[in-house]
Amino acid sequence: MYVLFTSYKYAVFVLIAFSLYYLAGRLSRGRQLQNLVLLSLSYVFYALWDWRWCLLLAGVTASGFVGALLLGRIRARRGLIVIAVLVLDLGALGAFKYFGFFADSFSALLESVGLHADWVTLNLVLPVGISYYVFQNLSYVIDVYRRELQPTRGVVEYATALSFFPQLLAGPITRPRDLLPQLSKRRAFDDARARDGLRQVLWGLTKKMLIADNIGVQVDYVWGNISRLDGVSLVTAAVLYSIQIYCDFSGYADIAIGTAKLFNLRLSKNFEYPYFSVSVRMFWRRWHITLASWMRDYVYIPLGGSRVGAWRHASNVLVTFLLVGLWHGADWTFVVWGALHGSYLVAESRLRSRGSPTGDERWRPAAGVLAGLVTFALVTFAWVFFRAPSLSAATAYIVQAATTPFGAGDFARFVPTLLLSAALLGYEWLTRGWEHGLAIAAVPLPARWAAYLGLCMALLLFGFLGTNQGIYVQF
Amino acid sequence: MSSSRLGRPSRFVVRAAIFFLVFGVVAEVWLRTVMPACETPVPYQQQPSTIYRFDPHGPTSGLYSVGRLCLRGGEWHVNNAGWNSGVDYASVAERKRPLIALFGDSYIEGFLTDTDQHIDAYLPRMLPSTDSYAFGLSGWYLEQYVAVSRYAQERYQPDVLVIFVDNADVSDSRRENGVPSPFRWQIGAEGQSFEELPPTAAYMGSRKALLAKKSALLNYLRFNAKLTLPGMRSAAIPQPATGAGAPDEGDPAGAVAPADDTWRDLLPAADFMVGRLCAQHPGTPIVFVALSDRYLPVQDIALTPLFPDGRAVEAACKGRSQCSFIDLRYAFSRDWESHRVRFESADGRHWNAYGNRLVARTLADFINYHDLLR
Repeated sequence: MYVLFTSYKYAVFVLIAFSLYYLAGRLSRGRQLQNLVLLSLSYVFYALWDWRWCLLLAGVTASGFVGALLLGRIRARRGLIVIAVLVLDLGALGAFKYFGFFADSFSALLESVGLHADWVTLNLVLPVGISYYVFQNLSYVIDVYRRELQPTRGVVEYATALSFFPQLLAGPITRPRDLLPQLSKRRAFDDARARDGLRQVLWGLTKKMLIADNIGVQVDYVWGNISRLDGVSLVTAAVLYSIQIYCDFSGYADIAIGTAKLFNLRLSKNFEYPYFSVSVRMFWRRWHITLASWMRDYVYIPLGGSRVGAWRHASNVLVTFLLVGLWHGADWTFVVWGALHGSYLVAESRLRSRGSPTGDERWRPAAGVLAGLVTFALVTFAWVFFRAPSLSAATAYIVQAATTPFGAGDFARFVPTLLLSAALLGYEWLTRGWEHGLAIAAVPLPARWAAYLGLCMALLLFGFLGTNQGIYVQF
Repeated sequence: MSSSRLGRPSRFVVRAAIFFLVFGVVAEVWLRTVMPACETPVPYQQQPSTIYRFDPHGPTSGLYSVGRLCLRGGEWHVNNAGWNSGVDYASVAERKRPLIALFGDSYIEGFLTDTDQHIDAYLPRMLPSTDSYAFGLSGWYLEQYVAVSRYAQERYQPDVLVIFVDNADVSDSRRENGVPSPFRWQIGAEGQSFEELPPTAAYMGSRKALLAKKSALLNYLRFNAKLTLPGMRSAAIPQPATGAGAPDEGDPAGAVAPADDTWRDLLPAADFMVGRLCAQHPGTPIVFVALSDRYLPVQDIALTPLFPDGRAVEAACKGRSQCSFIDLRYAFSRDWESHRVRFESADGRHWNAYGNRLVARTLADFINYHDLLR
């Protein structure tokens, strides 16, 4: 009986958690009981998926907590402790997430030279959310190692930071250094923040259930009928998938962030209107911000970042984005997706190093639109690999789109979802300065309620009710 | 943080509850007026030995709608005997005209068309001086028809029995394959022979379920959105099996094609149930009608072999002079070739009024041709 954000069970769970949390706040003057309530409920939430995963979560938490405490006490050989935590955490991640991938690739390699290797498979089930809390844990240990953060002595606080249920399944990867200071003090109820939280949850549900899930039906249809459709349909579906994955993931993030606000906690922002970017570099400052910044701080910069020679810089970018790809899943499609983004960034960097063209000021808006369209096209092309079930399917998709541009299409089928996507992008453009799409606290009450009721009715009549889990939950 | 921003969590919960209450009212009004949510009659069964049908003392009319957009299905009417029909059923003593009794599943239940567009409504218009009563409910199968035919015999003594056979009607009849519903009859195998097994429970409508039926919002969630609400049974109509065998050259003569042998495994059970029907209604003509695959000609798909359960029933009819068999695919195929009018209703599966009329016409012609009402 797992609990999806989009099911009524989640609303019931949040209501129970909300009540117990503030009851605990009233019963005790300190923050400890509140944290204990959150921790217990978060583990219950995770156990509803599979109770055995709680052991893994507890193990990862223990490695980070103990590792950081040791790092705070000893002065010599601190690197060994970091390495030990890295080996433990990445070992767990590798065993559950990547062993099958490398074993299959190794097996295929052996098959190609005529050897059979069935023994290399383990068939482990991937625990939901493991990529998120392992990365949170690593960031904490590395921050303590770098002496950027004091290790906490509160095991409940730390365990709560890692397991806090809204961010457990699909992020954002809020680092303990951002969450621990909030958990180290008692949280009083903040009415304005809680109301904004509910609005953000509603906006997230709208993006996920109304837009992403409806587009998903069209996209799934196209991926199931590649050979029968023409290029126009395939390109349209690729564009729609760009919108689907954005609405799906950012919708989930909005629900998580909005839920956290109900508990007067702030999670890190994960999206900032990424499809209005005018370069791939800007896209990565606005898309899955918590992962991109994690990779920047703990992989790219330690590798040397951009303060090295051109070739080394290119290799740093490529390595970082190959890891970004692999973080999403153990599949060559994600590797290619990451490599594509890395290549885009390297190419952009080379172009930028030649200096920006000094054109006529009048053409600047048009150039911005053009750059935005090119960026969107590049990102959309990469999404084809991300969505594809295999590299051969992605290749078939691209070849079919290129070789049969016009033919047996079914364009009319896409019109409603294209209009929906255009409406969303138009609305986001108009509200791009807002924290989220429903940050309408200043709007008069009748208009606010009309907006809430309209969205709730749209969800009721056209939304997918409680059936689809988020795409990023599987990562 | 200013103190004015701080409030009590309980007040916040109350405000949120008020919003959801208002939303509930708005949704309720919307689903009663603008997009009418699906309404269904109240099920009814006094005890396990009686037949599960609709409560004639509950709501007796309503509108069935389909899907999230509440596409119009049909106006239903629960008659005096608890069946969805435009006419009340008269007992054998009150009736003056010969009676054709139709037994089937949701196709005969007829929620997707108005009651005056049902097969049992068309038949008396095509066969003047006859009555036609329908006994159908969603999800029923062959053994349930055997049981319901006993009920019909007791009360109405029909002159012709028409049994509509759908996918999995034979296999669902067997207890070994699972219990689709505790309120229906099944058969069990004992060595080489079979026996009839009565329902294991009688349907008891709870007050909660009755109350829920009054809410358009809950009806919408349950019947239009097909959500399984807490404490309630799933309202999703079981989809028919589609494993009717691999396509072959077709079989215009209606003979059993040799390509798929699955039906042979079903034959003993089909033979038992057809035999029970014949024994229960000695001398009464029994017409079996295979109703699947009506969509094939519409999609320009060549006729595949008849689905295994249909073939098993067809084979069981052979050698029984009382029984005859109609394969509707040929009627649908011919009509599509001539008129290009589609047969499916708002749910894309059950027959619309045109489909029902075509089935009634095929049946009336068959009954006339074979003089079954003599």
